[in-house]
Amino acid sequence: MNATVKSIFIVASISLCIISAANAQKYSTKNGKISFFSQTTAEKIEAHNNQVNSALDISNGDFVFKVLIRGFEFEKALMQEHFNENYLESDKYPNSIFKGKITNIKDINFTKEGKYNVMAEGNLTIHNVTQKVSVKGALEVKGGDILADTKFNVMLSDYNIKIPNTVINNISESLEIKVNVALKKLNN
Amino acid sequence: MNKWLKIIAILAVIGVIAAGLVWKFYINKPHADIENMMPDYTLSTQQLWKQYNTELKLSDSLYTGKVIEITGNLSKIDKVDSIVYLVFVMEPDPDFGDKTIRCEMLAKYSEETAAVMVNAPLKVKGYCSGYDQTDIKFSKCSIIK
Repeated sequence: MNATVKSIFIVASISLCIISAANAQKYSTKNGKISFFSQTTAEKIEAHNNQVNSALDISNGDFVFKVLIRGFEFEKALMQEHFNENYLESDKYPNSIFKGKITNIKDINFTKEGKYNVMAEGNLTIHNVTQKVSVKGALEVKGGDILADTKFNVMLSDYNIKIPNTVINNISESLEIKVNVALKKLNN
Repeated sequence: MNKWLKIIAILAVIGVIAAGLVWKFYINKPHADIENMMPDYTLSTQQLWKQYNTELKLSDSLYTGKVIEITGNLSKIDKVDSIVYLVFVMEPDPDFGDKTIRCEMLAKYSEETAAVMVNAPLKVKGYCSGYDQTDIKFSKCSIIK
């Protein structure tokens, strides 16, 4: 093996080690669950989406959640139609994203199974409007995976989502959002 | 019964029937039967991937929210709880491992998906939810033979 080939081999090996080490800190899923609830005296509405993309880097707490608006399924087809066409305008704004950081990531021992309370801060974009949000949640280290869940509320008016007067009594101004993901270690 | 009472009774009956029809066929109309619908578009996984990645806005307007039939070599099968996803891997990705076309199958196809061969060509039809820059996602998918 000549010197040049040796050098290439060493650089490639080091690069692979660095990439592997970086990925060892990353956990992700594409099958996360998100649901939202609206309850008024007139009507209870809920919708579910089983295809949330979520990634977490445990070395620094950086996370991302990506949701396709048209992936939400409602019990009633008409509600789903109105949600997409009139309220969220999913043709114009097909994605929602929550990107930020778990601020107390250093308090979590990822080598020890257990449940930990966490605080996440970041930018939540819905309907092409981005707001800074802080949410409380829980992370559970279990069987090599990380289970994360959170529940928080969003005000429709904060995201420029307008509800027509005709159905104003049927849809709550504040929606309860529940997120539940099982993150697996990324192996590249 | 005088004439006016008769007219009022008939109008009331028509009103009730009309309200019932609106309730059944508009307010409570069923979800689209994606499995039995004709696809709006038929294309390969490679064609769909290339289009979303070269012309996102145009592709969103064409494909997102539509019924699409895709053909490609199946890369893997994911099962989470009772939900089965057929996955066509398109590119590597640093955050999620890979970029894919993912098809969430209708529950009635659970048995059929167990017999599907990985690395073999497969035709799937479903509702396209769009592209989130990592995956093109489908739901209510069925296998086309």
